Amino acid sequence: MPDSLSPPRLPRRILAWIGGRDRAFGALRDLEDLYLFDLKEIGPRAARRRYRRQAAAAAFGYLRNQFFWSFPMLNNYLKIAWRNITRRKGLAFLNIFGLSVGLAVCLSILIYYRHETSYDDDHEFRDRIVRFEPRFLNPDGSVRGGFATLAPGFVPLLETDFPAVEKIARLVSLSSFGDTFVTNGESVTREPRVFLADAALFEIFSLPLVEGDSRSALSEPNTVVLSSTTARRYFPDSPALGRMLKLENRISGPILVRIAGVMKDAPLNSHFHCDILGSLASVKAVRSLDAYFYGTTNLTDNVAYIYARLAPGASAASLEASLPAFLDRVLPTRTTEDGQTLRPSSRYGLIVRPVSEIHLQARNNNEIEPGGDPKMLSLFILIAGLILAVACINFVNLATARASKRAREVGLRKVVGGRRKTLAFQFMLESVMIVFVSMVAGLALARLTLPAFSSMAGRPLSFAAVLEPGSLLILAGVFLLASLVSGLYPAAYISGFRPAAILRGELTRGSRGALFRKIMVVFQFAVSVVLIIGVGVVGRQMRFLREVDLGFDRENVILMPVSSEIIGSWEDVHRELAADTAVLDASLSKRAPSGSLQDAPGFLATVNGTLVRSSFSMPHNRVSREFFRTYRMRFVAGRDFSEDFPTDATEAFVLNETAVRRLGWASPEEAVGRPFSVAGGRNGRVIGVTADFNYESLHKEIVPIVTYIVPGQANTLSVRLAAGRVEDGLNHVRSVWNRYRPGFPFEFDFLDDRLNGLYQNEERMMRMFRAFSGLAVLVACLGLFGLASYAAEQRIREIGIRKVMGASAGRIVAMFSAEFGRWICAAILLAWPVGYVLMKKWLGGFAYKTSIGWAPFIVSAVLAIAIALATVVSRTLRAASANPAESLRHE
Amino acid sequence: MKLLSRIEEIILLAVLRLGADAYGLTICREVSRVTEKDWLVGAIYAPLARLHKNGHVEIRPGPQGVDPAENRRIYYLVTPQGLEALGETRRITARGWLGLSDPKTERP
Repeated sequence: MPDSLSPPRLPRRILAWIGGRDRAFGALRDLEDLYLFDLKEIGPRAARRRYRRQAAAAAFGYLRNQFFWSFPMLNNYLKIAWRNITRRKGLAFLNIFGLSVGLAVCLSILIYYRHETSYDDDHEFRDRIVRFEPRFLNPDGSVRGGFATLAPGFVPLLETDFPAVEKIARLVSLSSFGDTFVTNGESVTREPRVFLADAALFEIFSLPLVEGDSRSALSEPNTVVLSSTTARRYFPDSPALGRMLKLENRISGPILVRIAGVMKDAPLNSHFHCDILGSLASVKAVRSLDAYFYGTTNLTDNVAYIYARLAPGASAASLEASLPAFLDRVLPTRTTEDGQTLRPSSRYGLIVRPVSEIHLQARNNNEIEPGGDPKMLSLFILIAGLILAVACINFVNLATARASKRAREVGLRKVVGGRRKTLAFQFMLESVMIVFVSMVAGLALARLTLPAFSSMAGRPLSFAAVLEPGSLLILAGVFLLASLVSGLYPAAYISGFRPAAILRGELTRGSRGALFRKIMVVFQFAVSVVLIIGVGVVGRQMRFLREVDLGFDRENVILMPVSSEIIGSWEDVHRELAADTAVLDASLSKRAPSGSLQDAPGFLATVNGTLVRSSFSMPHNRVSREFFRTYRMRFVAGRDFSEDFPTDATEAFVLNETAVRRLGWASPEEAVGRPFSVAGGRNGRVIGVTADFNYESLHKEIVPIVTYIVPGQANTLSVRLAAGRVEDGLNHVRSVWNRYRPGFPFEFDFLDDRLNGLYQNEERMMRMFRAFSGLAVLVACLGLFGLASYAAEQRIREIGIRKVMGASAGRIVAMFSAEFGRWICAAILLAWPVGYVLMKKWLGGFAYKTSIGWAPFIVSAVLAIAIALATVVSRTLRAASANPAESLRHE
Repeated sequence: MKLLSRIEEIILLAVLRLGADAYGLTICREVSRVTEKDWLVGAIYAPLARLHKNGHVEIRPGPQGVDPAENRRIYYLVTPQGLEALGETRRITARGWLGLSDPKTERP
């Protein structure tokens, strides 16, 4: 057996690996000899056993030695690292400060990220909760629009048709039907977060009750569940259970409700929060509403959020795939003019949205609460990465720039037997130390700035998110990455010095390293310039949104919700409002600018002799006669509604320019006087055409709109006050309000506040973006500051000689500035096209946008050069104005 | 002159006995035989190095004409100084034992 002649291979390999090839060789030689002897004397099995034992003992000895001797070296490394840090305190501060700012930004964004992705994850059935959402389809199958709400008529149908739907519940926001007022004893409060829901909601979401029983809480009519905070607000000292409140809303009328439970406040990272959750069964008493919410006939009015809990193992995707066939079955088939039948599912679809996606991905117009923005989130993650990269580059640059100072140390270590590996280890250890200190400082910084950051982000962020296992893992990853990125290059670079050259004094500064440093500075400043351009363009766009001509006068208009009392006696209310000269005009409307245009029941028009029937979606707005006057919307043809034409109230329509264009008339003048009708049986003529105006946010194109007089359906009262007499006007409106709605609080919004509110997301993004960009520029400057001071110090003799030869301090500073300035200019040239492309893309998300213009580019360049020069000059001026005798004394 | 330690003495005796065949492994086996304990091969190198430093053994090239792998062995030879130290140790031991009996054989 030839195999047993050779000793076992594995121990041999292990020994060679542990001991190093040279050292283990002698031992292995001996072990093999021993094995050969043993083979003859005690047989192969015993020989092998003995070989293994001996090899194991030798390996253990080697390890013990290595461990023992590594302590003095480790000690030495730490000592040297500490000395290096304390010797150059300024430099160490730059490094640590830059890195901690970078890490703090990373941490803050990590917290933000964890918050944004953690929505609705503490419901017991979170993986099985879905929401049904309608989608309107174009003829080619693409999605034209959609809502978060669905028509409640689908609920019984879905429940019976799909066994995968285990529980299903409707959630209705009462605020979408106007304001809700709650009377407790004498006081009346407007409650914005009032919902009605089926009892099954408690079986879908985990909403624990602190008082009452969740199984029965919402099953009876006229019962409500309050959130703990609301319960305390109404009944500060006594239990709320069983107490009565009066609830008043336009659809329900005044009803007396009993408090059947108090639930824990929903966690902050829920996609909806309700103060008062009433039983939807309450509306059963109202006969028309019973069918509206509970029948199967209402398949068109999207008024309820429909949540379902799926059966275990059921997949949302397969449920969604079976929905088109379901829709074809339950929805009526339509026939077009040319006799083709249209399947309902070709125009209309349902999607099944998992609850975990609602916050970040749903982004419907009528979400219960505004969701997050995944694009914004990834942008911030990118910025965090960039700032960290800039900070790491600082570290690398300063470490390599300083390398010549440490060349002698490296040379000596090599001469006395330091291997490249151990030297690299030493320098890695130093950077790990710096990163560690920065990490601790960064954590503290992030903790301190968290309150400011949460208000900027508009989210209640908690530092506890950092301590979750997932975050800690990410944190460890960032730590390792930062250590590697900032330590690897200096370690490789410095440990590669040739000892002979160093000790002869040949090496001082490597030109290779200098080039690398300059490229890095270019990169840092390019990043900074791109961010400055971003801030400029975003700011321009925000200003544009605030100041653009919307097609109406947005100043001095107040909006308030209306009640049936005001609508019922509108003629009187209007007369009284107009009595004071501080009020210029007032009107009622179903939709007002800054709201969304939700209803588009259909229309019929005769254009050039042919009949056009709802060929595209044209939202309707139902208003009182004074609407266009109140908003000062401009007419391009025809006339406004007028008291002189009593028939206006029943047969007059006003279109906007876009509607005229879409309908196919050649000019607005041509449209005036043409017959027009809308679904619901109103026939009449077009009496006027207004200029286009933006009802909704400028993210959207202007849509065609038809306006006609139906004051009875109004939601909003708009009042235009005289400029400069806003206070008088408000007092007058309040007195009229109190006459018609005694006891109810007078609450209103200014139109321009509401309009600006549409861009809150952008405002917020703008603020965060500006802050982060500022930090990136700051960190980049720190690096330049360090490099400039280092360069000035390195070339102190050159400066001395130049001064002796007659150069002025100014010329020397100019020389340095020109040197750094060249690279900053390169960075700017690099950053311009990148910034242009990125901002072009960002502006693409707006239907109405400003031009990018040249100003942000010029400003960014001037700013970058100014900041860089200020940094360089401040560092070199001292060196340049020093007495040359000082610096040359040693030559 | 410094006295030899016990292990140095045993190793030196092994080298002396092995003569031309004294290298790491054979020394180890001889030590193991004499002490009736299984020694690790590596364990003899530290005292052997000490003996070499103190001039009690010298390194000599291995026998010519064997295969090249064997030339990696280091052969040892006792120096006259080593011999003298051995003799000294022996005399010290003998003087110490003079008039005493071996406890193992004499006292049951």
